Amino acid sequence: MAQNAAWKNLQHVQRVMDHAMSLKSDNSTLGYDDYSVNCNPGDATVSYDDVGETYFRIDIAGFTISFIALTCVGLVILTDKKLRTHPNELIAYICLSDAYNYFQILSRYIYCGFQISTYLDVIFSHTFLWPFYYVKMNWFGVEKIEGLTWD
Amino acid sequence: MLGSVQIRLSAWYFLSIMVSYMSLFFSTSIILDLFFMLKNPFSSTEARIKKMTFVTMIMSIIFASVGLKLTLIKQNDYSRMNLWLFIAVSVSNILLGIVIMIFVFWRFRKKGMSKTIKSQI
Repeated sequence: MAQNAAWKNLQHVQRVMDHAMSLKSDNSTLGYDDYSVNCNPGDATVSYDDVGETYFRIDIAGFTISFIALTCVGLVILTDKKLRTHPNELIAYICLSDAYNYFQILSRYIYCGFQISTYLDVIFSHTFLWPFYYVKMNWFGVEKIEGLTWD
Repeated sequence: MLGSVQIRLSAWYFLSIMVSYMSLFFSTSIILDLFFMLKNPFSSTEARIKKMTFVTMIMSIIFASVGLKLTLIKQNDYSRMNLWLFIAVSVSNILLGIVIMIFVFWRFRKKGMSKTIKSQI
């Protein structure tokens, strides 16, 4: 499971980074198009079949459950002295690493497909994941809303 | 691309693949930990886990740095090389884990193993 999550996460960040690196350089403007980062340039899906919105939502549910469950298990082990015995500490670290990987994959879905709320948009705009906002696409039958702009 | 944007993206990328590598190396470190425990049952567990965690972090940082460097070269071949690097590390980890597990099972199945441990205790 750890290898699978890590691999999917790497593919995901590699796609985004490759796309971002291939964007045109233009220091004079801050236009939307020049700096848009497509979350899913290769139109690859995490579901093996691109069969629309139902699977989109199922994937989101699955990644959310994995992320929350792994975070809980990791934190419970690290905060409980009795559980924090050999080699559970290492297992807790694996759980937290995988939770982060699932969060990354989940973020790709959420940023590309849904707007949660304006307040969360403002919070996310101050994080590492800010470039994810500039996505303009239809994905899994869900129309992507336009996010914040660079200005 | 603007410098600040590149720094932000690079930081995000570095963090992400570092965690991916951590996930791989921690899995192997559990098996390695078992191996070292059998080798010297009376060594300090905490010290061993700290050592494993430290080595895992260092390895993850090194591989994530290499991955970031390859990606920033802006050539598709190098980006693909980064993915192959990850696959190579994954396969090496799995093979190393299998070899160590075989060794551990072999030691457990060896005649007199339990008696040797008892006598040591």
